[in-house]
Amino acid sequence: MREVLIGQFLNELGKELEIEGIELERRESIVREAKCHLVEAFEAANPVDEVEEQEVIRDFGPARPLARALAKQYSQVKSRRAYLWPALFAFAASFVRTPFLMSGRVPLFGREIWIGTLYLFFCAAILFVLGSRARRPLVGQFVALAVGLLATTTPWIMTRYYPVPGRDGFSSFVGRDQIVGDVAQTNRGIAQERIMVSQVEDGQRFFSQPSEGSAPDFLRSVDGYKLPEGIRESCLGVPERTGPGLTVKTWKEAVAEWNSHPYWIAEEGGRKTPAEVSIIQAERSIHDQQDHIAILYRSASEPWWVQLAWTLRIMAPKIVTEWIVVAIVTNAGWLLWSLVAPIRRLVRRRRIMVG
Amino acid sequence: MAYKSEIEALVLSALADGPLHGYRITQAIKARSSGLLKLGDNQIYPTLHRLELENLIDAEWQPQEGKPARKVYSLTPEGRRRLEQRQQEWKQYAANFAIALGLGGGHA
Repeated sequence: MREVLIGQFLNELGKELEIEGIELERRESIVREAKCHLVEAFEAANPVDEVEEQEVIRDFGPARPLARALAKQYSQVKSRRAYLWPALFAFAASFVRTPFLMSGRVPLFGREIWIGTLYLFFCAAILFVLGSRARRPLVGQFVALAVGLLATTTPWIMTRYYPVPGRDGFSSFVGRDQIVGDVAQTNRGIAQERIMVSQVEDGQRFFSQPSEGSAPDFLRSVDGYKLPEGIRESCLGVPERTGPGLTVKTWKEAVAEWNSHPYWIAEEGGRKTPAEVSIIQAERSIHDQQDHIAILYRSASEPWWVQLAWTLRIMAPKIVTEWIVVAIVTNAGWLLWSLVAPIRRLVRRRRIMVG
Repeated sequence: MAYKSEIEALVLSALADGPLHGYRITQAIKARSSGLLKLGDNQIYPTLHRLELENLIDAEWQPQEGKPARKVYSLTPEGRRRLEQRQQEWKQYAANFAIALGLGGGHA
């Protein structure tokens, strides 16, 4: 009877090991070892009836938890080995922003592909495959890649750009060799705003006269008079053509529009004319541009650690987004394995038990 | 019931006196603990296989006449170092616990 009981147990153990996905050679080895153990246990206990024989099998323990514990141990050891390569690839991927990868392009499928894109795709694919073998969250790889990207990107940016924090609508970074050009361009913008303010002020005076006089050219459009927004567009936008809705045809219409108070600006003290609004906007714009130049000069003269702090502050949203992507990429293989593994186990159980 | 790390220490300690196969290891652990540790016979196998994969123990199949071959385990030098480390940890733990229970040996 004992041979039958041992045979039944070993048969069950073999099936449970197969369900857990343990390979044939290892399964056979485990079953042989269990057989040896049970034979010796029977010899030592020398059971006299079936109840005592069952007791020996019970003492050894059930097959399913043993198979699961063995599978878990194998996957943990395997995952420790599989941990090294993703870490190396994560480290390699962090060099994606080196100058060569940032600037180079190669022809592929009839298109020019950025080398950095190919490199990232390659690293992501490798991490995916290795991650699926690791069978646990790749925290170390994520940290290596996230820190690596930050460590390689920040010096690259700092050696090429000045950080300019604080103003919406302006570049957050200005190239170190473009600082003169950027200041000149900003100064041109300020000059244009000042010309516009001057013309709008002239317009205010002109359209407050009791009778039509000879309007200066900058107040005239092809078929009538410009409104303050029309002057703004001429000065700052397309000088040769003023858009529709920004001009009126007659002196009477122009006076009515220029002297109307359609805008309510609480912080400026109440209702404002279009001209007053244009001047307020221009003054704010001039202030912002002067501020931009001041911050740019200040940034250029600050020590490197202040520039580093500013750079990190500007980059923070992008860094966080990038880290989220990196976390997903490095763990995609493991996540997929986590989803698929229970399904595979169910399918195997069904196949083996039915078979 | 024993914890994974405890089973590891127990298995290594059972092998300290010489090579043994699975059944003998469970018997040695039971004998050493005077039956105090309720260790299921098959509980040692996952630990044995892990220690083998980690090269802390070696395994060798030995044929037996008229009986199934048995897998005999022995400590590697690395395994012996791990055992010494675990023994130190347990000594420290036991000493600290004794102090905590007011059994003497406390700091001045």
